[in-house]
Amino acid sequence: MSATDIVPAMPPGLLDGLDLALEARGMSLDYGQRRALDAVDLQVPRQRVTALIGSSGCGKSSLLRCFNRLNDEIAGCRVRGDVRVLGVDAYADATALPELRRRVGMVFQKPNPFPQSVAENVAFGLRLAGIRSRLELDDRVEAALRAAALWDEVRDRLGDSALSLSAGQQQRLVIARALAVEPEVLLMDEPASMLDPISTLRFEELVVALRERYSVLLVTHNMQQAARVADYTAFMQAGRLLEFDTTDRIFTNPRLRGTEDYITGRMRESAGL
Amino acid sequence: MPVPAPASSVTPLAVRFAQRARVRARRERGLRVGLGAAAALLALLAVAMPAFLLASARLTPGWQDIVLPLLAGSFKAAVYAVIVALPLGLGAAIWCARFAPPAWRAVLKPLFELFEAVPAVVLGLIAALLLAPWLARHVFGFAIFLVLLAPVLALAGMGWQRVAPLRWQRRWAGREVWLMLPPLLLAGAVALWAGEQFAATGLAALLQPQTPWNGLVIGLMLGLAVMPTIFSLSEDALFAVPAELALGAQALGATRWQALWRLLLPVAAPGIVAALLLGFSRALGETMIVLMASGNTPLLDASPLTGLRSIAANLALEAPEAAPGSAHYGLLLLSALLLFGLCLLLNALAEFVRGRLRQRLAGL
Amino acid sequence: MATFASLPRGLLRRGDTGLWLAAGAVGLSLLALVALLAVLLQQALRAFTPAPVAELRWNSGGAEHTLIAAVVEQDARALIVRGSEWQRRGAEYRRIARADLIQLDWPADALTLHLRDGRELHLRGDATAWRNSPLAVLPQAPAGVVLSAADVEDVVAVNQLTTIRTMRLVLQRSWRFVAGAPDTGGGVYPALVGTVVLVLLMSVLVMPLGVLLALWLHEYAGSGRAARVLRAAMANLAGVPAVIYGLFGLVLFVNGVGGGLDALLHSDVPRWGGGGLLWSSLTLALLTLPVVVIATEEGLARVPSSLRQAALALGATRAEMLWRVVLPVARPALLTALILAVARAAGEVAPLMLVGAVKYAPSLPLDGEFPYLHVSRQFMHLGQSVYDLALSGSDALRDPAQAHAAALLLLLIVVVGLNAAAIVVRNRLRERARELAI
Repeated sequence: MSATDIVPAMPPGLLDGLDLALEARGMSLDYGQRRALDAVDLQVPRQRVTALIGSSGCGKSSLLRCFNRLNDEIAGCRVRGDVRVLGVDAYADATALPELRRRVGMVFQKPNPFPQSVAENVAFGLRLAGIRSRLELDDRVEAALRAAALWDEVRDRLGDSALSLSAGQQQRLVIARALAVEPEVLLMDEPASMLDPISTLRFEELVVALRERYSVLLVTHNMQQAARVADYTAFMQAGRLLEFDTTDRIFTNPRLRGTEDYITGRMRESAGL
Repeated sequence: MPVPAPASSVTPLAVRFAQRARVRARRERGLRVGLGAAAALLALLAVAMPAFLLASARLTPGWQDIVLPLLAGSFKAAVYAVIVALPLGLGAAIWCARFAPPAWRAVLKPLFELFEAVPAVVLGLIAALLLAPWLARHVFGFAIFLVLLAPVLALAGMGWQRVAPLRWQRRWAGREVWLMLPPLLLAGAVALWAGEQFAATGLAALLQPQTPWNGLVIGLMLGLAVMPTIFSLSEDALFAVPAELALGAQALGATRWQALWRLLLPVAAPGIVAALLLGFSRALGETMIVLMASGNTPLLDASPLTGLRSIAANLALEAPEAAPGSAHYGLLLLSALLLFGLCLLLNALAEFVRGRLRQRLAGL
Repeated sequence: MATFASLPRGLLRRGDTGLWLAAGAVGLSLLALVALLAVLLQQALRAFTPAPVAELRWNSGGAEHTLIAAVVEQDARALIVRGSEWQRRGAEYRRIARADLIQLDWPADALTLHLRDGRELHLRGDATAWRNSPLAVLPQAPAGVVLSAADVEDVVAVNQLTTIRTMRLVLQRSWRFVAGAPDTGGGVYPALVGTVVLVLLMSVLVMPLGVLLALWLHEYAGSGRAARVLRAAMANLAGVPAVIYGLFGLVLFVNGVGGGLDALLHSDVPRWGGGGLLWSSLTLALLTLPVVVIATEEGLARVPSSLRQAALALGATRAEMLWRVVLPVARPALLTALILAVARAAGEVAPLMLVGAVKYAPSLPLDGEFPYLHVSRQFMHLGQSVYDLALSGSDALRDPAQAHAAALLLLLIVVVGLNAAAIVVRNRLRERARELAI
């Protein structure tokens, strides 16, 4: 008997009138014999920030990776159910994987810039489009770096190695790299967990700013971050999506006991109690 | 393939990507095809080699008379080589893995690796033109050296441990190699002098080789060539054994050597056996040294003082002349098949034994 | 090694006998290495140092003989001398027993004339005079032998050499050795060219194939059955002796494909059916394939998966990820693989003896006439030259000495040049990997 049998994860009509960026219906994910996600129903609205919270191992990252099909790279991985990305069935045979992944950008927990210059990192995706003109590349690189709030810091260091930047800058560089190919959705997997508090705050400001053009699904284990940044929050446990609601309601008045326990427990932890 | 394009996002960049999609997909397919072709080629090669050997080899009557001496020659060379390579390689591996300071190990390992890269033809040259004549004149001295070697080293070492002041001993701990050099040189000098003095005796006459190009020379040079193989594999095996094992024994009062002998060597034994097998396999297949320094006389004789002809050397000499399809050709390929099969067997065995080592270490 | 049962108990318990023996093994190995190198150097130097010239008188067969000759070897019992080589190089060696010697002088004005084709003439005279004036017929020359100044390469007053002049001479002659051909006094230039061309052609063949295979094994095949089988096949192929590869090349390429091509092209002279550059390159490419694959795979494994994920997440295809991210990061490993393969190709002789390297090739495989690279030609190889000079040279004393010089050159190139470079590159690769992992 799971919580989903008794209470639907999302209050009905919550997302009425909103376009959906990502949608999963009855999605299950198996790594070989192990079931990582079980009958997940999730709707991520457009141009909003949705946070995904839950204890370690509950499947948050796996869920994220289902939307850009990075799980396909893992041998023995099987996805069942309906997964729609920007209105299109992501797992249909006709779906072109590179194009899907272009439109769904991803930021990882540990910044992973290529061991190339700052400009080359951002231009990586642009070169895949066949853009060769130096002028166009420079323009687009600058636009992406501005959108990632990194331009002012690196405008004189475009030729430097990306690995010479600080962790916070590297993470923003990764975002710029993703933004350069004009995605519509951004998946972020605990992107600020390796950053110091100040860099984290700047990062959160960036996420809020990105909301205007992009739909963000953000995995975090930091409750304050979710509260600061996200419009909606989803709570997961043991591979199941248990509750989905506006961030306000989830934090002040969660419907499920489990959700409340988790949130208050983490709040206590981060308060140092 | 239709590219998903929801109404809201047909930006110029998206259009550019759409235009490139065909080319990119084609390149991806091309890579797949290339990879598959490479894999198929490898599979073909792996099968083709034994296949063509099997197809063309001939068991003509009387093959034993021709092929068996060659096989015996290969074995003779390999056995003598391993007799030389094993003590040197294993001894060096033991010292390097367990007694050497890290700085020494960092220098010795690459040095021995470099030695493995010395072209065999260079070793063959030295063996044929320099070592063989010299050894022919000084066999007796050399024999004396062999006999003196272990006792002199052991006595020198023991003497050092008993007599030298502790301060010195501490300073030279980890640098025993330098300490062993003088006794080595001394033993060599004494042996050579003794060899000259007693050159006229009956024992010396017994040891006189029939020809300068004999099993002894081959054993020495081929052993030197194969020693790095035995060294690196044994060293890896010994180094991989966790140090706690030895420390535990030492805490109970064992000396470092006793801990090694009774604990570490048995654990690392599979790796050492694998090293031996691979060294033997390499010695079997080695051509140039045997070709240049063995006299190439196909004898069925185990004595180190007579020559030999190995399968590999025989192939190098006779294959260019043999007419395809002739009986000679078939016999040559038969000998090649034997050599190939032996090396394959030894390698497979070594791989299997190494698997046992991995299992053993994983269980620790 | 002594057996432990035979040593007195006290010694055993107190000491680390084995430790000393093990250290001795290291010492002995190192001594052997040093001895090999030293002896090679010494012999190579002998090849380039001019021998002193003596004026001899000796008794033989009841008659008295005189000769001005270079003394190349001597011991307590006899001398080996090399007289003036009027006709042929290597034809004037004599062994003179000390017992027969009447007189042995080392005249200060003794001269050695080095001729362009490697012959030497010994006489007495003034070095500067000989260098300036042209020669017509020399007084002691047998009837009919004509020499011109153009034939003379160098005139050396051998018995008056200072150390500096000797060193300069050694360097000069070493250079001539490296840059000259066998028929002009002994040189390995054609062999060097042959080796370089062979190695280049082989690299072009083996690197793409090896990298593709490594990519397939590491990136696509994972741990499926096909991968395991092919990896085992690779490990087995790595253990096959080089001479068997040579045999395979001989049978398949030279006799099979080559013979077929000749039949197809109706050529009477075996052009493709004899050994040649192409077949040798192919054979060596197969031989070094396992080396390249293993070294490349090692490099691919060190590329952090985070980089691969980043590339894929940006919408790169697999091919693009490999070409633009993984291979560039693994470049040091590719370089290592190339260097190791080249080192092997430069040093292997046995397979080449079967598929194309010859003792003497009349022309270079790379020259000025179209199509510039002649892949069907036989060629000379440095390792093969060592073998030939050592065992089947025409000059019983100078050729083996040159063999040592060639061997030293080969050793320097292969061990010091290539393998040491590979070690440096490999270390840099490890540092890079550590950098990326931070």
